[in-house]
Amino acid sequence: MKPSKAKELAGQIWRALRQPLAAAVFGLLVGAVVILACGQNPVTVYIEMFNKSFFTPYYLFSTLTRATPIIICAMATGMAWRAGYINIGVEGQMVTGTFAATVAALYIPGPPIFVGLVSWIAGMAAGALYALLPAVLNWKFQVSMVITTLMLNYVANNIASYFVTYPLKDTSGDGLALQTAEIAEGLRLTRLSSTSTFNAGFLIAAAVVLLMIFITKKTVFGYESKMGGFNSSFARYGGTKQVKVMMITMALSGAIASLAGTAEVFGLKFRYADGMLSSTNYAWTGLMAALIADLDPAGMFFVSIFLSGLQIGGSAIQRSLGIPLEIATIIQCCITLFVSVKLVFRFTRGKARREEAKGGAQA
Amino acid sequence: MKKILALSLALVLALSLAACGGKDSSQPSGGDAQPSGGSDSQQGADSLPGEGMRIALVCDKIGVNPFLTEMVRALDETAAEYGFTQVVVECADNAAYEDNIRALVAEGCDLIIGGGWAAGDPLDKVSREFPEACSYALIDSEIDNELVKCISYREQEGAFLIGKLAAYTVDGESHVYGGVHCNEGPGSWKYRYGYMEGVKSIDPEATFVFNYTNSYSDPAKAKELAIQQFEQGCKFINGAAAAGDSGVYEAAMEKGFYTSGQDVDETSADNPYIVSSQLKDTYQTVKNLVDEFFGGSWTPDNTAWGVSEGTIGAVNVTHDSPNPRSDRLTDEEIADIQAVVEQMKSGALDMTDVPAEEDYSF
Repeated sequence: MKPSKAKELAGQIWRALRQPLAAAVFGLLVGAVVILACGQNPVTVYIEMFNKSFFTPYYLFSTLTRATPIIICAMATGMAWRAGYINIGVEGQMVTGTFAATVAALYIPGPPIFVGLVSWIAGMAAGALYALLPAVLNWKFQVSMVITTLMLNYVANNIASYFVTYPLKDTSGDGLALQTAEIAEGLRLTRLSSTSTFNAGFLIAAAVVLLMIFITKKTVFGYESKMGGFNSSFARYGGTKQVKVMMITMALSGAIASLAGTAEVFGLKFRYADGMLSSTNYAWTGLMAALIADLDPAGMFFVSIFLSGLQIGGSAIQRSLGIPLEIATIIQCCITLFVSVKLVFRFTRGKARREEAKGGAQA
Repeated sequence: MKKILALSLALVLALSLAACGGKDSSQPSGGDAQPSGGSDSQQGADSLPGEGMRIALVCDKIGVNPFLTEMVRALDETAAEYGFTQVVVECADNAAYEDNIRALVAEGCDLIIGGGWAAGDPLDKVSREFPEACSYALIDSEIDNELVKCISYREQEGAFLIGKLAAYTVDGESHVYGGVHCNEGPGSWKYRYGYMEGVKSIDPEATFVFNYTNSYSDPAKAKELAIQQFEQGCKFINGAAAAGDSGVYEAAMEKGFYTSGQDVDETSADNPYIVSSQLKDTYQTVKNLVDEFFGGSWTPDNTAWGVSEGTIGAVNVTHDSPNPRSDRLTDEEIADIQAVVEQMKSGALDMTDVPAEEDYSF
């Protein structure tokens, strides 16, 4: 029985991976055309790019460091999307949560362990509340969650921007930089490497992935939310309390989102700087990873690392070969594009099948 | 069917990208050919001081932002002169700064120049960790770190000159003055403060409208904002929106108000409404830095440069322009502003200290 089971598992992994892999190969091929147009040898460029993102320890650590917030954002996105709530406000929830955590870390007195704990919890609470806002609007007034979550991103960014520009601005130096003061040494996450900035934030990201797998596979809530995502009428018929599921899902999504930015501040930047979470596009890269991996937690974990590696490698080829940074962006976008081609095919195939089933009764 | 569709999609995409790539290709390969070309042509004199050294400029996306293209031009020229390899690293976001600066140190760079305030915090962190590995410089911002040479500017001096020019150009036809800036931060405050002081020194009744594009490269938004300010009665709108200024010029052409540019001489024979440009000579700044680095006089001490040092100025006042001067400005008016320049140089007019925005009454 065992070999057949192993074979089945291998088949399962292959089916899960073949689409992203094919998309990656196509993306790299298109990238090769662009590199050729720049007058460089794609093979050399790709070797340099992957050497300086995955196959040298120093750069691998950079990749993992950059992947940390992306992984967590992907999880936050996946948490909501798999339940059918199109939360594209992960960025806003991350900014709100992170800002709350940073302020708590800066202004609450006490021993580091206590302050640290309080600030992380404050961050998660703020992120969760901010995510509940669109959920409540949707529940009470049927406002489209896509629009509210998206728009609340700007609200969060601009509010945080106001605070770091005026009341909470760090005035050391010439005071030109829009950022808060640095958090105390005792609150910072431990570095796991002596040469790079790789820090314990990555372990937090890994823990979030495990938590996500646990919730989706082993809990009643995970099942209920997934049912809601598949078919909300069925879920309602089956007796799930949809409002409750929606509230918990969105709150969890927001709380997870806040961890992404908090890990970045406590592990890497040690302060909140204006635009640090929006200009980096962590939330959107996370969303991309979630889509590519089809919302599978383990898949999102690896795809996030891969996308982060593309960004790190993209900077590396710019430094050593003078290739413009946009090349890496083009490859990344092509991969997403090819994955979305898959989505469209699925959609059309599903539609065809449905129409077949209907037998053309309704034109 | 499915396969053919996928294949044709890929093909179309590849071809269209190749077409776009063709346009780009001249730039990166041109920039790339420079280091090797530079050392080839210098083969005769083989002992250049910078042989085998690497100097990096780390900055925002360059595009057509003259503040940054001038830095790159200076770096390219000095690279040919001293024989070092120049590395230009554009950072798409805030986190990329630290990644890139760290990696540059690990890859053995000799001097890292941060081109803008966003490089400040990452330079601070990395330089403290690797104080011996590399020399560090930061342009246009100042941080509390004795390892990083910070060069800041007294932009308020140039803005003061532009303010005076603005008031003379308008000649009392309106008392509302506009300005389109990038961000409402303390960086822009230095410009706004100098501009307002300059205008008010001639037109005490003046009131001001300022708007912000929240981007360094948004001509469309800058144009919209300029038109709105014109509708509010502005006869002069100061362009300080980096690469967005071209939108302000366009609006000036359409609506017939006067304007001024930023960083390099933006006056043009085709657009008589651009009366001046507030200069911030980043070309000279980078050149001075590199000269100092190879001249043996390098110290990480901070400096601030203004009108007296020639890095800050205004077109038609401190610097001549190949384009004709607007007929709204008379020789006497220019002479009056030039007298102010002399006062700045002699120290009679000291604009080093800028009051905090909160304490300033409009």
